[in-house]
Amino acid sequence: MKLERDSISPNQFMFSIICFMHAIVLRSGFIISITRQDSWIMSITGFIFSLLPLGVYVALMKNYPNKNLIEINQAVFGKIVGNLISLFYLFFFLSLAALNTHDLGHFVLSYMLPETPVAIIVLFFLGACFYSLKKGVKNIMHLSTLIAFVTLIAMIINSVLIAKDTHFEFIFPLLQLEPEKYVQGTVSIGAVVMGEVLVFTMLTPMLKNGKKVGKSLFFGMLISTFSSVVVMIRNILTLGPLVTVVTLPTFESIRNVSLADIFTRLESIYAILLVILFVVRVSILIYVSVLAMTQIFSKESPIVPELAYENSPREKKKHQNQPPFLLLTTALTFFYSLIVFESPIENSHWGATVAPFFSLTFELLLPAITLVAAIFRKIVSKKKEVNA
Amino acid sequence: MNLFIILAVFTGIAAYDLPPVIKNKQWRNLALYIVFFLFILLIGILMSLDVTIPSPIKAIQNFYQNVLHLAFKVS
Repeated sequence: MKLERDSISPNQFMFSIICFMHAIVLRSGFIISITRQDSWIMSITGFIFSLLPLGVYVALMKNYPNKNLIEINQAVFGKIVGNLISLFYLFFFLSLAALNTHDLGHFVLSYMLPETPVAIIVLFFLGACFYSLKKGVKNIMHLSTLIAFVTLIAMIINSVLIAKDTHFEFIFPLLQLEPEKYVQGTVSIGAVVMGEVLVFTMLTPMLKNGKKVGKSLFFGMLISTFSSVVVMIRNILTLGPLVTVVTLPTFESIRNVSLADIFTRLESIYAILLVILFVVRVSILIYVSVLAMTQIFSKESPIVPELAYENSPREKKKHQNQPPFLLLTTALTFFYSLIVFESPIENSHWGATVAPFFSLTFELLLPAITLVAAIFRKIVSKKKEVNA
Repeated sequence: MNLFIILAVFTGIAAYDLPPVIKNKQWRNLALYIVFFLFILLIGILMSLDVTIPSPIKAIQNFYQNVLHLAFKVS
């Protein structure tokens, strides 16, 4: 398991973020149950809210260029305390991988293979993730440009085809719910959807132009917000009051597409796209978990300069000296995803109540503490220099 | 039956992962690997024997809801 420096462009990085976000954006059901016909506004306010953690990540990466989250923790707090803090991130990444695998398993079970045991679905799904990671995370990120384009085009085509069945009055009344609902909606979108961009702070050393990391993160989130707004408005205009009842509004909305009996059952294309997006998403989550695990427990850094790797067999051998955690982490994700929740109801209850606070602990609180410590450290070292 | 499958799969995982580690004499990595391997194997064996393993996420949910009182209300 290695991470090659300078191996992907800022645009590929941005499209990977779009794919990563899209997997959850398309499953907008949990937020619509809170803020109903106003949910599309929550996508915008959630994006604005998520600029706060994004600002913290960009500030950290400016202070520690070309370092990922684990390396930054080690640099700021020292190896022991830094690794202890990094263990929390590792748990967060593993939990996200398990929760997403669980979501995917139950989606396939409910809509595609109702008689199949969920363990078999999850096993095949994680097999695909393992295979793609074996081929290299760099390739997944290269491929995500194509996947993001296909997803965006499919979204536009579905929206155009369903346009004749939409009812504009379904979007009204606007902003009539209690203010707490809007706070809940904003924080949920900001933390559970947008804030997960934190995962990409683990991969920043891969970027060819490290200075553009903030731009890539920002535009990745902005395009995801735009598509989320389009998807939510389409779902609300198509389903009306039903949008709060169904578990997967996007799926039910696309199910209504029927154009001259030629374009029908388009939801199957959506289902395939969703599975592909989830493969990208969970692969990235498993990868960052393995990377974090290796950086915390191994002596050698798994992050290698690409040129050194290509030119020097000695460097190559040195960086191959990593514990082979990939298959074990995939196995752990398999078991974790099976025990994480017993039913989809427990899952949606978690998403609507505690998940935003759980996510914010890792996405905002811990990085903010690291940033404050980094600034404090800088001030102290400057004072020492002046005194010397 | 499930236990047999779990043991067979984990034997396969070890057979796939370990030869390069042993060949290159990476003993520290081998020790780390064995610790993780045994931990995950234990989870697998318990699950195959239908032992209920508590979900860490549920424990966290309880902690946030009942200790920190950080949770949104369900409508």
